[in-house]
Amino acid sequence: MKFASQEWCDAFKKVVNDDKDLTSWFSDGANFNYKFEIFAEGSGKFQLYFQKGTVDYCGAPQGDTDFILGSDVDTWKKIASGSDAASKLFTLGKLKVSKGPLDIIIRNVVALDKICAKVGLIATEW
Amino acid sequence: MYQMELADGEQANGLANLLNMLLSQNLASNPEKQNLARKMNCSIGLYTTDTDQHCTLVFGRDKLNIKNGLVKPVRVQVSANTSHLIDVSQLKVVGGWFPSGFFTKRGWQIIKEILAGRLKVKGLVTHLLTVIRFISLVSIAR
Repeated sequence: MKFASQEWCDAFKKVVNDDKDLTSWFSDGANFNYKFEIFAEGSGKFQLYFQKGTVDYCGAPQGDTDFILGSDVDTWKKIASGSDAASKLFTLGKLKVSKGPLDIIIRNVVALDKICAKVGLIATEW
Repeated sequence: MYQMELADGEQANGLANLLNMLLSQNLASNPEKQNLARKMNCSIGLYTTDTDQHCTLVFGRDKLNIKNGLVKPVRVQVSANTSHLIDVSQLKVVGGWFPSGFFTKRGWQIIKEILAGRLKVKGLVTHLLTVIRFISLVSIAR
């Protein structure tokens, strides 16, 4: 499936929400209500909205978001393969957070790692 | 307003960029941290063991200059991995001097990492107040 296509987004939303531990990954899952725009350079972007720690929307950009994060395709492939955690690549400057309060990202770094790693569960055409 | 500068601009490494973002946001939202930054008046070296990156934070009276690499002399030198940095940034420091966050599960884990030599802080004993102030500056704990 082409990265960030609606078919891909539907699959991503499902693999994320199907994890029964999802809300426990957040520091305060019940109040995790944020919108993300996620991009892969040269490959596309999508938006991911969380409501009470679960994915409420995943698909084409609809408006402003609280966060913008993403990287190049090679970095996403590393995240998807599990060879490197998103947080480590974030420290390396490979996974960029170009908008949004960093304290929220830091507090929820476990969720960041686990949700980004879910990309590896989808057969992605970059 | 205490100023921040990335000495290497577009060539700043990931660690320098991360610290620039974190400290910019922390100082912008907290005037007490700006006063603390003015009091530092020293350089702190950081090295991430899992990403092999160095940077140096040079705290001046009115500006923090963040440089790639280890630029000596530094008062305190930290050698840590990504998880250590993330954990330390979540420790609470009350009033810029009392590290209450060390009396938490996360804090005890950090102490164990220091004792095991996996998280190294050169200058921890001789410049303890500097270390605590630095933790306070990077801390996102409310």
